[in-house]
Amino acid sequence: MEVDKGKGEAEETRKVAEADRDTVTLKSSDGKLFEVSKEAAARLSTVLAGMIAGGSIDDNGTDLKQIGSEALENVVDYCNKHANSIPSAALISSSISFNTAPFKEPEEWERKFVDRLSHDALFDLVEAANFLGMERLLDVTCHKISEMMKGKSPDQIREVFNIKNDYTKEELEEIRQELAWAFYDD
Amino acid sequence: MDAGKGTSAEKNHHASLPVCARNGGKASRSRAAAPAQTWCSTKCASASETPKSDDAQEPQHRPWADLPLDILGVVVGRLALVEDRARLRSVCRPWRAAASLHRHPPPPLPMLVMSDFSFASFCAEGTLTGAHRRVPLPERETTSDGSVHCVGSSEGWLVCVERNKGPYFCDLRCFLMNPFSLKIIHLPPPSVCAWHFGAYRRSLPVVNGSGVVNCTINAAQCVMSFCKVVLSTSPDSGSKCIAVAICIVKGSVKLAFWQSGMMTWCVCDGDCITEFIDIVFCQRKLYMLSSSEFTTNLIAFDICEDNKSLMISRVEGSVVDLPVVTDIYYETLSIVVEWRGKLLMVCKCSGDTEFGHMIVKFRVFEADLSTNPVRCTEIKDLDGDCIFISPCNSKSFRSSDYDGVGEDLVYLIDGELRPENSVYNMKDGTVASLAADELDDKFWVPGGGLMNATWFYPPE
Repeated sequence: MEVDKGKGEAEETRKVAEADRDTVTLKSSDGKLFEVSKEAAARLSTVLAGMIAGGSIDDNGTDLKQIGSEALENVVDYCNKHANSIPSAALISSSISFNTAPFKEPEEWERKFVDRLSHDALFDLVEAANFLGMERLLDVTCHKISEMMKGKSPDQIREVFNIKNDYTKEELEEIRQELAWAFYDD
Repeated sequence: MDAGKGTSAEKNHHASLPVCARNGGKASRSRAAAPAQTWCSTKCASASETPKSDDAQEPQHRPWADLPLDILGVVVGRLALVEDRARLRSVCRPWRAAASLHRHPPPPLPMLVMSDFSFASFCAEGTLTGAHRRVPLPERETTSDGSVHCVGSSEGWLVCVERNKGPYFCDLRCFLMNPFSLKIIHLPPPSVCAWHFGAYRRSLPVVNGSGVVNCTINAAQCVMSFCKVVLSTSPDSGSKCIAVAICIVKGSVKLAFWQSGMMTWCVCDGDCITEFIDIVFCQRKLYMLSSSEFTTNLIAFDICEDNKSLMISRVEGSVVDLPVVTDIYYETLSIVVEWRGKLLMVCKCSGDTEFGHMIVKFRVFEADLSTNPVRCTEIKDLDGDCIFISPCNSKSFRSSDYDGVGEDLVYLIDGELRPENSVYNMKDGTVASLAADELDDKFWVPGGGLMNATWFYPPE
């Protein structure tokens, strides 16, 4: 692009504003509207990318009937934060010593982002990420869920997630082998 | 990859959300009371930035047990330890079903199994922890005095022997165990008083070498004690599984061969065997690295499939032509390992440092098996793969198959030299200590002696 005005910050701002004028409006199941940059949405969500490419974006709010307003707010928040984040030096250097491919550890802001969520909100967000085909957000939320399980006994995990033990006696006997790995303490 | 930088991205963000940016916090406050169509943006909802302090107290409404299959699959993939995965499966029926149906999670990380079956978990940060638990043994295979030991592993299988605690230093039983299916395969006993069949013995000359290798089956008396057992393949892989044991027989070192269908071990001895350094399967042959006074030799054993005859059809020796060492370090060629069908030799280089005599670096050589003497070329990377080495087995694999395992790294569990557990980065040539908290005493047998450990690869 030809530069015809001044240089420096003003120029930078102008370019950015220009490039980002394009946004998409998303409508939650309970009818609330959220605006998110088209670029971020297309980059982070395969489903939204498909809708944008296919022209099925509604200017008055694209209906996402499966996603509640709280979860959609988090999705949009994540997209915005992602656009603002700079890949941290720690992430780059860690890939040299102990490469974590195919999964990259969550960055500090991503950790904070999921840490502040209630369990219910986390559940809704992971489902929304799955529905929207947001691979990175799905990874980050699933990482959080796995962190909530690590080192815990099945009973403790049930307590965290409020899950009922629904095994029959026969099944309990069957999973005893699996449990042996976890509980064969000295 | 990520768009935007610092301040300009911030402006960008505000520009993209005009409603929110101008209304500030107001938008979020009005949102709760607003009817169906309300503009919302999270940028305004600053209250949500603060972490929820006590999430244990909050009521749980969402049906976590019904978490969609693909999501739970991703969660399983994020649990690197086999124990954590076992616990997840044990929570409820839907989770168990989902965990077993999931497409391809990365395999759980390898674990280090000590000879007493206690195991340490290898964590994604590259540390070893635990060894508070033991690999569960089926009840009928255990002994009250803990005389069953682990002497090797292959894929999902462990090689176990029962040591005789009596006056004779020998093993009474040998079996392969899959600790997940709890399947057991009994191998012929390493020690027998007398065979009813006649002993059969043959001497094979060492082609291109000196001396002979004597192979014997059905020897009148046999009292072997296994130090390390390697398997050609997993016993449930479909192809024939061959086991080779480095064993001590009345104070001298021998090799014992077995393949499925055989009723007895084929025991081999010879001068080249007593000087062994390490053994490994490569290209359907067993290779043994051995040293004599002036040379390092690679002995190849051709194994015939016919289980009615002696297993060894040919023994060939070659001198290993190691590049001249100009370093001041003391080098010990100590490990052979198979890598993508090729044979690698790993050399520990030790020297005197301010912390004492320590491993300073490693050198890894690729052996050209088509030449005699065997030409060795030093390599500086593993094309992203890594090698796990332990006294009872060594294995190379693609680090991308695992979460948290680095590229071009050599993980060594040693015991002879400090650091006993080290990680060598082939690319930058550095040696780091493989952190093993609370594990130090686990590497030693009560009463002295190194506790032989083996890397074990749990299947998914």
